[in-house]
Amino acid sequence: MADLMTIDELSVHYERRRMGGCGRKVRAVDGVSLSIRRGEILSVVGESGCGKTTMGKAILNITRATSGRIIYDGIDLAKISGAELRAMRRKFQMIYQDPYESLDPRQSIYDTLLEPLLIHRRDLSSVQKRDLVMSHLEAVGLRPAEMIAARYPHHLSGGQRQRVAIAAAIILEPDFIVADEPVSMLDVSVRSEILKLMLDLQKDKDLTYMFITHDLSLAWMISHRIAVFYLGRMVEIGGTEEVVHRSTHPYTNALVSVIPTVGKKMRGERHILAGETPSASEIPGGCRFHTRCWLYHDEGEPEICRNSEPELAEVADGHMAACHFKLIPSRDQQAVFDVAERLSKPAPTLNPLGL
Amino acid sequence: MPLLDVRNLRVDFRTVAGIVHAVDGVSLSLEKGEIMGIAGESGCGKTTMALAVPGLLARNATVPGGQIIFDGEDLISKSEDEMRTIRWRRVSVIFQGSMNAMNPLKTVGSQIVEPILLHEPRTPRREAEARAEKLLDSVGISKKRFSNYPHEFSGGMRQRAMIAMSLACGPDLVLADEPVTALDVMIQAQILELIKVLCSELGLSLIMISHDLSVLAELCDTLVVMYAGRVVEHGRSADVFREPAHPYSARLMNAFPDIYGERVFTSGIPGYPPNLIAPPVGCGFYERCPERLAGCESTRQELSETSPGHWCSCLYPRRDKEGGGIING
Amino acid sequence: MNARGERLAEIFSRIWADSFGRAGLVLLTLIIGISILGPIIFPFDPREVATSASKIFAPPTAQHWLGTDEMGRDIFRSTLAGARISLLVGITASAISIVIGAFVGLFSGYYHGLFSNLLMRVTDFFLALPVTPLIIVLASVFGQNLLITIMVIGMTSWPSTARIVRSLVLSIRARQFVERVRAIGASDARILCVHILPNVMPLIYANTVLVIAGSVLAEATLAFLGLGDPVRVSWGTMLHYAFVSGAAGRGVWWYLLPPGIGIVLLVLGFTLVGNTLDKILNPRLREF
Repeated sequence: MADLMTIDELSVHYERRRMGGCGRKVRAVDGVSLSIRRGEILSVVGESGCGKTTMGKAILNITRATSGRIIYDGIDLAKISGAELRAMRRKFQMIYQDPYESLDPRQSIYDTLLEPLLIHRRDLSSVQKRDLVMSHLEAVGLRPAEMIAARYPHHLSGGQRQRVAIAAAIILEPDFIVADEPVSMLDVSVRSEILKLMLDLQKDKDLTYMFITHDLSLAWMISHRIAVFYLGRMVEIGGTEEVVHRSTHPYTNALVSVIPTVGKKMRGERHILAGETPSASEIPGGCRFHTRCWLYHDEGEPEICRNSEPELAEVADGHMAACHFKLIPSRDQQAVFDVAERLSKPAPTLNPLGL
Repeated sequence: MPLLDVRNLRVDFRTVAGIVHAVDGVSLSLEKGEIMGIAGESGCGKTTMALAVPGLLARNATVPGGQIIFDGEDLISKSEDEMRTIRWRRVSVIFQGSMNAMNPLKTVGSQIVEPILLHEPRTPRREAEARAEKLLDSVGISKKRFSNYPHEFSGGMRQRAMIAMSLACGPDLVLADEPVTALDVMIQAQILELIKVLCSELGLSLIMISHDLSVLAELCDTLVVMYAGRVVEHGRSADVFREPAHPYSARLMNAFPDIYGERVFTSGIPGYPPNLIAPPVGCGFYERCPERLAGCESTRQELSETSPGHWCSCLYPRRDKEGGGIING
Repeated sequence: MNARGERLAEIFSRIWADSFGRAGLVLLTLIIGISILGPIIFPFDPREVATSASKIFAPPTAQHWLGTDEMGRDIFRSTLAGARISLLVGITASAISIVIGAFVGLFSGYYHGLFSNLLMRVTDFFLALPVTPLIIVLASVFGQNLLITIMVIGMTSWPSTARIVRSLVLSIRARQFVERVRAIGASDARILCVHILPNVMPLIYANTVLVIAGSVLAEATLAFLGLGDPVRVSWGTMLHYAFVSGAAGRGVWWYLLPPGIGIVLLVLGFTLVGNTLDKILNPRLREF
């Protein structure tokens, strides 16, 4: 599968000024390399402050990256002019978490959807633009389109607003969409409708998604690959089943272990990490996870974890983790979860959900 | 005798648009030491129902009917002064927004001392402070942080402090309203673990309200599912999760992915809850129910026992239809 | 447009529903009506002076409803004419003030840079200056002319508008929909005109009405101090002449009261409507 976008050593650092004192350097994203394949859903999972949203925004050039390269379809985005970049913007779009904040309260739904066309599709006649707006409202399930178009955001429910935000994101026919927790503000019953819409659109319009979420089980549900972030770094990446059921990094393992299992027995040892994620302005030396790592503790606090930062290394085909002591699936998980049984099923293909 | 026995409770809100029947005939009972979960979408009346127990409803709320019998006494008929002695000392609350639930201008420690001195005015200040320090210690906060202000705490620490505060007067019943919503997953797990340990150590009775079933699954002995101001299902947690009898509970459960199950995508629950100003005559879930049958629209089914200890308010519980527990997504 | 008309009608009905707002609306309608119709029905001719001493400072009679002034002119008619000038100065000066204030506020709130910082420092400088003495100095330097009065008031009263517009722009700018339209590829000009300005307009509307009240008062102050246009008599100018001619000492209350009450009612009317409008259009700003 071809790569749509390659991110190379991307970093976003900034100074946080405190009152009176001098600034402290915050390393929100700290040297992330990642490639996104055309047509895939890549979930970026991590707790708040792990840099996942900042990275998404840096990729879309909403936040300026401190260093690193972003190569889209063979073009280095840092090397093109401002005007070219603006024109390029129609190829990447973002869907935000809070549908109450991401729509202009004084703009009608029609104007909200028309705006991207006014900026990028000056070639269209006004009738064509109108048709596009209406057909996109229908495409996201907002019917009757004529009626919804005349409304303002405050007339709509959270789910409907999120549909509008999705329509506004796809109306320019982008290739790549960063979706930042698009369902976490919505009621449970509405969530799956919005997710289903996003997945349907992905299939119809050949989209690539970067799906940013804190919810590993949700990521498991919808994505082809999962990347796990901790304190500005990617600690593990791989196929969805691999990452969830054969996690190699102790942090991923802990995240999997705290997923509540609705009505079922827990499968294996729970690792509730003590304490809280350190601040991105005070990243621990060595492996940045060692201060909370249960494996570091189990291994007798080896020096290497305190002294050197592990690089991502391949543990299986396409599955990489950044840990000096990679978990061997047989050691921790095979006993409690029958990997063999799972792996005997056909490997997940693209669009595994049968949508 | 159960510790809390809510009988046919109704709560109305007067609004500009009309009277909203937020809680419409809820009955449930909680034994001493029981942990009960109340689940439901926003606006289903779960928080209103719970806050009616310590009498903490908004000013435009009225209780047109029902009883809240707590430890043998009806709380509905009590005066505000009598309620004040019960609040916090017997029934305390862990609020959702722990930042808003604390006074930003007072130290965390003094806010834990406050209810102690309020309810036991004869306690010497030193002793109350020592008790507060011990409480902080029991929720995993070092006593060095006693004189910190709320903004100096992280979200997880504030929620811990909130729990300490709720335990300050040794209550019999604690109401936890979305105690882990908006916290990170790892912090959620920490807080849930803490609540679990405290409940078993102190023999607390706890009602936990959450829109997130998976959170309740971890902790609760019994589970109540509410929809449109009414209880639709009530039973032992394990039973409800294994064999949800009401189509709404089944779909709500299905909305959460299970990483040890099949990767099938559920359709969610299309539609919206009914307008509670003019509640439907029959089943509240009728409009959205994919399993509705003849009679559902006009018959209002009361809770009935589908198996021992498992109650459901569906005219056609799933057990009858499908031979139990098979969820068709 | 129809929708706009409906919205306007709704805003009026909501002001009307508020008791303070209703009082303000009644006052304003009354005064504006008087200032438009009054001079047409009862034209005022300043050259129509008294021919005998008994006609000077004459108390109210059937012929002169509000008596006469120190030159024997009809006070009722000159009060009607003065309303026009007071209103004219108040409204035009506010227009200048609002345009400058809104522009400075929008610009300095939206852009972060040298020029915008400079603008804000200038605003702070003007805010810190005591305005009344400044206006007096400017008016006495540039002379007594209606246009000068308008310009001076307009040019000195914009900083407070700039300040509040700027703070609102700062908060709107930080909202996610602005980031979203920027991500679409919208230019700064588009974001400012299509997204930020419409969200700031309610604040500007409410502020305009309040600034008019301030401008009317500023004009009255200037004119009372003798810095008004001697040809175009306003309520302030009337008070000035009444004071200079010793009307107060002679107990000629009918000369002092009409312009005085007029100014009070006009300022009150604009303040009441302005506050109500602010309450209706910017409810969130009043939460704290």
